[in-house]
Amino acid sequence: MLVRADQLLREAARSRVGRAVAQIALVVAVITVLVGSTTVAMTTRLPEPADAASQHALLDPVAAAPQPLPVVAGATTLDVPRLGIHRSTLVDLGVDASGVLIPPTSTAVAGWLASSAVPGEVGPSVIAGHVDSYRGPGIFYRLDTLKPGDLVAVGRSDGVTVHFQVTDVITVPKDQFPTDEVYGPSPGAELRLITCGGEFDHKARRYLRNVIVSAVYVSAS
Amino acid sequence: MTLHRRLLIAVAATGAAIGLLLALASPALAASDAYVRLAHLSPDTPNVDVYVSSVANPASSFVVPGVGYGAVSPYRPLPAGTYVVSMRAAGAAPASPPVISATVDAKAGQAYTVAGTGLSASLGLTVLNDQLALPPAGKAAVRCINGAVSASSVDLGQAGKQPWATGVKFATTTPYTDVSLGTWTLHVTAADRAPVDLPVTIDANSTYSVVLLDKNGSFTAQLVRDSAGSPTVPVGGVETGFGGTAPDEPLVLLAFGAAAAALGGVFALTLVAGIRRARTR
Repeated sequence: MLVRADQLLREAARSRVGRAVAQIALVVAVITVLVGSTTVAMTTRLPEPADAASQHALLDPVAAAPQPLPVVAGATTLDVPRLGIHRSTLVDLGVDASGVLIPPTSTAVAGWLASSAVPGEVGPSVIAGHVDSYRGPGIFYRLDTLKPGDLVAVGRSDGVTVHFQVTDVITVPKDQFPTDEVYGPSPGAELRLITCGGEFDHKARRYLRNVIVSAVYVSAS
Repeated sequence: MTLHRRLLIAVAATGAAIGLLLALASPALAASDAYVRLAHLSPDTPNVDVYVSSVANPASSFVVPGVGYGAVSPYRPLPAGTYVVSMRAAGAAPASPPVISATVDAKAGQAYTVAGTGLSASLGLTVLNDQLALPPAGKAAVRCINGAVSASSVDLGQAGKQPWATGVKFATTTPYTDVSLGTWTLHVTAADRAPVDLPVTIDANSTYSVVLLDKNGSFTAQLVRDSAGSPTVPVGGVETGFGGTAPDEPLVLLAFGAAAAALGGVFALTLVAGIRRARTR
């Protein structure tokens, strides 16, 4: 019963927020059209495919030699349309003394490993969230239902929204966690979403598997 | 209109149509699981247009026009599959025979650098496998790609230390070597050439290529980042669930089974008792 009430409340809140967002978006869109700028309206559309010119642009090693300025931005919000996650706040995550990733304290929000790549920069950016609490679904409930091609967006503290596209969804035993694939070098900007899955060990009170979603950079707005 | 002119127009139109098709392709919306980048490392080969075409995924085909010596493109994510990489002289008709072409079998989870290498007379397309494995903790992985014909045998390493690669020939690439992190000087020496000292900053869990070139008559070294890993690599998996949506422990089933066994036992005992009673009569 508790679970049900929880879910209903959350869904109600979500749809109310959703309606409000839609109304605000409509007003903004109208104003934007009147003003004649398309910048704001574009943020409400699906991401454009990565700019062809920038994809084709060649990097002259001479020009690329100076080291890029360090990006100080962090990840602040998460959108996963298939899971009904919209502009959900991201908390910062770290590792404990033994090097294990500390998950978010709340099961209702996901967290960004603050020492992984900044979303949109080359390398894997890692986001972890709970599949459930003691009572019911967590933020990443049904993460394993994501499909290749699904879109995920991460908002950054510098106002940039980075759009990713899911390429792979796997469920692996935790004792065979693919550290290389998750945290290892990647040639482009990538995203990992991690939660729990598989069988629940009632004695140890833990799931025996991790669900890992990989996504690649599409565009930034 | 002469036949010659008509032919020219037809060729131009075909080229434009193919160019448009390639430009309209939207590979960014396809699932991507391999990465490919292109490089021009043939000192005496003029600019080329590089065509990357896929038979299985025509939408993943693309062209990079006007690639000059020394250029290394950013990586492009592509669906895993077989691609034909062809180089044509810059501006040549897309239907014209390529100067050179090669097949790349791009596997999921792998990255490749396809480079035009050697001198023009013996131009080759080299497909390099780029490392995506994590370097050991506290190290990064660096390799050397020698595209400088003036430097026929090169040694390189951290200044003041033993070189980690020796005798690197023109148009060859070394395997990756694990090197120290931080900012230090890369020292490159080649027979008959002035040594090159290149200050480099090497990040944890990243991989790099040192690209050697002849730029405007001088021997140069450039550091190109291949891939970057997460600076922090957590140990093991992630504990992200408390079981609230997991199926209940089969307590009910156990109880049911125990009850059934007990009932069966009682029934058996009753039966045995009944038989005994019948016998004693």
